[in-house]
Amino acid sequence: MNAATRDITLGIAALAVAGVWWALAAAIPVSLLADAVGPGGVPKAVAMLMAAAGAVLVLRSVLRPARERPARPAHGRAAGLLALLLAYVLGLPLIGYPLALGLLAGAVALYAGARPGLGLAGFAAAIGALFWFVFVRVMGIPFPAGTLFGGL
Amino acid sequence: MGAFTDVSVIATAFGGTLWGILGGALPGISPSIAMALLLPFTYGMEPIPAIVLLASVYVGAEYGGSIPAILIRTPGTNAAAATTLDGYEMARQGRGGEALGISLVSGLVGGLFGLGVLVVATEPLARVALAFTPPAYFALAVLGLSVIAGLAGGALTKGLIAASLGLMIATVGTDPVSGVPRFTFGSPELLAGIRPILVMVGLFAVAEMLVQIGEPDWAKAEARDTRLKLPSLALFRRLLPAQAIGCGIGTFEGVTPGAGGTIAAFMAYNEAKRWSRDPDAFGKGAPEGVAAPEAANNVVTATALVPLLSLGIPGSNSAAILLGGFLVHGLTPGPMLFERAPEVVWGLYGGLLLANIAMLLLGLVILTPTLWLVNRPKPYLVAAILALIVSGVFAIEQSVFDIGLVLGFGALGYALRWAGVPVLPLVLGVVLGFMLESNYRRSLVLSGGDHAVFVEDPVALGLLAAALLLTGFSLWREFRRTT
Repeated sequence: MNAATRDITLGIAALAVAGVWWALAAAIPVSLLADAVGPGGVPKAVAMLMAAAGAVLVLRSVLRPARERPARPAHGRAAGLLALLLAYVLGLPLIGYPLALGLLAGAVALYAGARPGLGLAGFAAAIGALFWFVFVRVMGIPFPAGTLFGGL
Repeated sequence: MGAFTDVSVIATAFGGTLWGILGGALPGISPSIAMALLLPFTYGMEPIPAIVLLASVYVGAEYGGSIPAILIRTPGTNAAAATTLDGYEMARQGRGGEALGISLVSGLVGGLFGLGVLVVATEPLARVALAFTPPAYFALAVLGLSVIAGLAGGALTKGLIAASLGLMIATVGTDPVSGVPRFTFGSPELLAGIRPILVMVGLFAVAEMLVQIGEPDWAKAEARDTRLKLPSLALFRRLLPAQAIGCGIGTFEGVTPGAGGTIAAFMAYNEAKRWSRDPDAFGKGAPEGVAAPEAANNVVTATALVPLLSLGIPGSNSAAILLGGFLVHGLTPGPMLFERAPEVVWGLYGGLLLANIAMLLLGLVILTPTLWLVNRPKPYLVAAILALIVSGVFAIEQSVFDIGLVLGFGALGYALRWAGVPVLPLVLGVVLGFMLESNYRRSLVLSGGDHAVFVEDPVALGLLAAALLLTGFSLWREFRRTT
């Protein structure tokens, strides 16, 4: 995708987001306590600002397209990392903080290129234990203990 | 002042500062949380050591936020977000030690300057706080947003899209006037709105990890700093104008309740860039880009206490915890505090001074090992950074939902980077959105819907005129650059 197409896509996305935001703002119920502007007034103004900027971006990209080719980032790698993080979010309440964090650290390190082996396992265990000690023991933050192990 | 030759008070200051630096460096542990965690321990203490402890944590935490901002693009506190711009760029170029040194020294300059202002000008500056009406706060938010053109880095239209997105995020939650839920999609977690720190950690830190995972190795520099490098005398002289800008803006923003270090840091960055001989170097590792915001947010650390001490108004969460520390010992901040318990006021001043000294000395000790830590092999470092992020984010509200939000903002930040959209205007929109909307609407309620209220209030008029000037200047420069 070249820069002009990318900018046009961005401009159209901005117009779409602005349209959805306006519609959502218009649907906010107005309470008896509301002022003259109302709860939807400022969001609507912001939606108009975004729509105007999106329209200018589309017009400018059509009339005077940018010529450079943007770099091609590795979207697949990023999506893989995001999937690992989402797995942590889903697994945290089930298996508890230290285990989930250790598994996340090990999986991310492996995914990022660490060699599998005892060193990696030790790293994962150390991260789980160290962070549990700092956040749970020292700071007293109630991380999930894991419903699978009878905790909350 | 005899208390300050007491070894136990000095040890309290060093311990508090160390705890604050560590807390500030952990994303999600805000200065107020770091202070709140120690507040129960102050019950059994004498008033002066108790206030020194809380003040030291405050100073340490405000400084500590800059360490991960520079080294791993993760602002530990909201106010450190502006430091990521050039600080992280310097670290990428192998100049992390130099960036940390500039941050430490500029933080010290700002902290001491702010303390001087606090000591000599608390009472006259309190009048500034009293002059701020809702129209003036609205105008202050507009002034903050006027720096968007400068922060957009030559992509003004995209900057406006980003700022609008930030303002949209700021409107999520309960309506500030009528109390109606907006854009919460039935989720109780969104009723209180979205905390700016979640947006920043997602946009800066998670997005950076998503980008880095697709690259073969860290962008290798010729030679990486492995030790803390304090600025030379020549560099220090060069940084003075940027620090002076930070000190000036930090003083003004600090004495205004609710304005805070984040706005001060962004404005200082923008003004340092505007008045620089080489503005194009900003964003590419300019030392002034670290010095100005660091000086500004450390000045705010002290000057934010002006409304607390003189009027009894806590202008920030941290000041509110400090207020709690005073109340625990039967002391009520306000005009009478100077007459009833002057020794405690001087205790606070002394505590801030000790904390700044401790910040320098502790920084000299702990920053080199920190640099060593971030130069570890990439796979392990990425994993450890993400472990820190997900743990720190959960710690804020003990919410798994918040981790999901941060990941969502990470994906958004990744997409925005790919689309060439600057994220700073978005951050500014999030930070200023609530202040802008709530004060705009309050002003209109007070004036019966008459918009003339914004030009009849002299402070508001002055701030709006300044915003107009700044925007005009930025647009003119943008126009000259593109033609």
